[in-house]
Amino acid sequence: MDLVDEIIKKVTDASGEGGSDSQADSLDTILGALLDDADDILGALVTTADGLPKAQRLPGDLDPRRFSAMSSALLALSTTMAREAGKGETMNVLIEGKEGNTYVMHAGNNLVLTVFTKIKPNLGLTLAQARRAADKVVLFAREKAKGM
Amino acid sequence: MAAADSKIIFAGPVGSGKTSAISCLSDIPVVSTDVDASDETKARKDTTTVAMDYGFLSLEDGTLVHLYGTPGQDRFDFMWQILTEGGLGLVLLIDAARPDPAADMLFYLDAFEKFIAETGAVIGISRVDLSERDIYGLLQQSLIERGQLLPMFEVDARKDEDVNLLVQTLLAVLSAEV
Ligand SMILES: Nc1nc2c(ncn2[C@@H]2O[C@H](COP(=O)(O)OP(=O)(O)OP(=O)(O)O)[C@@H](O)[C@H]2O)c(=O)[nH]1
Ligand SMILES: [Mg+2]
Repeated sequence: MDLVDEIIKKVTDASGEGGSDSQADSLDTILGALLDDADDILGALVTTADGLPKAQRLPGDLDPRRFSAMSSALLALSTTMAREAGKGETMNVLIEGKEGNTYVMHAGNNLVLTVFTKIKPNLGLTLAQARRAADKVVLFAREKAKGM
Repeated sequence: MAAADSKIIFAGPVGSGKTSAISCLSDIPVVSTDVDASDETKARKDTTTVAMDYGFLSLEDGTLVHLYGTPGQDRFDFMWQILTEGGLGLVLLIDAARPDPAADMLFYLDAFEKFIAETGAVIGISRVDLSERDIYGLLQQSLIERGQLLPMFEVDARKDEDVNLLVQTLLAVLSAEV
């Protein structure tokens, strides 16, 4: 846990502030950049907390509607479980699959980022890359809310 | 029926009162996975269930009835599958104040058809106070046309005794079938 946090912090520091751009990137741009920059990440999806797709870069024929609903269900249940077990706020859910990992993370209060990795990814690096993208999503949502 | 714990599932359209029903019946604070609604549900209520509700009720004989609520929106139909696993019966809550309660009922009867065939079901019509129409008659009629007779009650999903009636009826139907 601490180790992962540390790695995330290092990678995040090394690559500079995620949100230093004066204008927040659009969700599509954020996901595009994530997939371009992160070799181990094969797909990503932004959804609302109640399970509707907002933007996606999914491999193959994965249905964004279905995976959006699953992302929100998974994150909501995990968040409830961790809270009731006294583990505090949930940052992300990690699924380690034999053919690759899935991360589901909060991106602010109302959005969720889901990421699919290749088989045997670099765990710390991919988590950090996903977290950075989630931070950009938060920033984007904030800018958008301001503009309204 | 042997004194064993049972698991029952609450299903039905968005806002028909599945979370309310389990909250008022459960002996423990419900495990809730409601989040802010961002779709058309928002006009009706603030939050919607995205994974499940869970609570339980202890009966006089000491057994527990585990209560599982499903998310109403059909994009969460994978949760319906997961939650009905090992379930003994279904409480179908239909909102009388939605535009087409009969279509809602048929949709959920179809979606849970296999589960109902293997177990049993009761229907609760909620929010009748908000509708001027005879929804009970309407739903009876469409059940008859479908050739599927199920116990049906008008209920207020916020009222303990109403929800309890549904659950007790379901348990009675199930034990009669054994
Ligand atoms: N007026 C009236 N309101 C009711 C009645 N039964 C339930 N309600 C209200 O209807 C709403 C039902 O909301 P929920 O319990 O969240 O519904 P749900 O079925 O869990 O909905 P989803 O999880 O979004 O699918 C609540 O605001 C209840 O207070 C009723 O008989 N009459
Ligand atoms: Mg609910």
